[in-house]
Amino acid sequence: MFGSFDISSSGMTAQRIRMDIIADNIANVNTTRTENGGTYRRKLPVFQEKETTPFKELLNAKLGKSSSNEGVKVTSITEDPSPFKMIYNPGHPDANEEGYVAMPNVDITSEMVDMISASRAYEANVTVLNTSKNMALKALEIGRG
Amino acid sequence: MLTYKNITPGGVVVSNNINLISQGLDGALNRHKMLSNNIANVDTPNYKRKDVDFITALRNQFGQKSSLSLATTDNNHIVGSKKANKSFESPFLKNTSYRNDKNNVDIDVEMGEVAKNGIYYNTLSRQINTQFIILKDVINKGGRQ
Repeated sequence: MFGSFDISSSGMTAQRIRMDIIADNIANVNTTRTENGGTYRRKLPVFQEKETTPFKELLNAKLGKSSSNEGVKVTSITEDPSPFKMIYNPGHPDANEEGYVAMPNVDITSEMVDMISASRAYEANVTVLNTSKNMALKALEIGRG
Repeated sequence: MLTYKNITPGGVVVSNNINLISQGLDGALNRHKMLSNNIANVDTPNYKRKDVDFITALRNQFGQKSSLSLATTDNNHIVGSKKANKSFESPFLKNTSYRNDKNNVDIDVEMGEVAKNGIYYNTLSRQINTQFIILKDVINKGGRQ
């Protein structure tokens, strides 16, 4: 009964992490100095289908049921390896000998598009969660009338 | 003479309606879980949507005129038409791709299916409620002259 609740909330968690990363990318669109030194690199979340817990898998096997995957998880946060944008700005403290500054490989437009996509996917998960909730409440009404 | 074994949870009064509807509820819940998983994985690369066609499975099981099995003493006797419980098939659509990331979840289709499945579940839950009301009426009013 509550399996679908967990699935939808895993989807919401994943989209929220994605949104956090997009916010980080947009906030650092002009950052030329990071902890590792060098220019900020655009970050990307990697989504993967979440497998059942070993306990559940064993339990289902003992009960003769097949266990399916449940929800989504963020396996890692990777950096975009694409080249930095070279901007001519000789006055900048991080400019090289020719006067070019390596600016982050963050594209505001694509970040915005990703943001809308994350927001819509989050909403879709919320809608499913609400449907699950209504179904559970309807099931509680059985036998009351 | 009815033996205990032949009485379904619905009892003699409402035949096996309650049994049938509760199987439908289980199927709808199972399907909802799969649809939630599809929506949670809307942005997972290489994910393929999962679905289950339980209505056809139910129809195959209950579609026959007689749902009782018959004992036979001769090879020429006609056997009862009830089939063994068939577990729900879950067709995995592996071949198609909806996007470049080899994911084939179409969010609009999934949301539509979630809405349909939720309404279906609510309808069944109302139906099973009615069955219980009928049963209650029989119990309460059956003895009166």
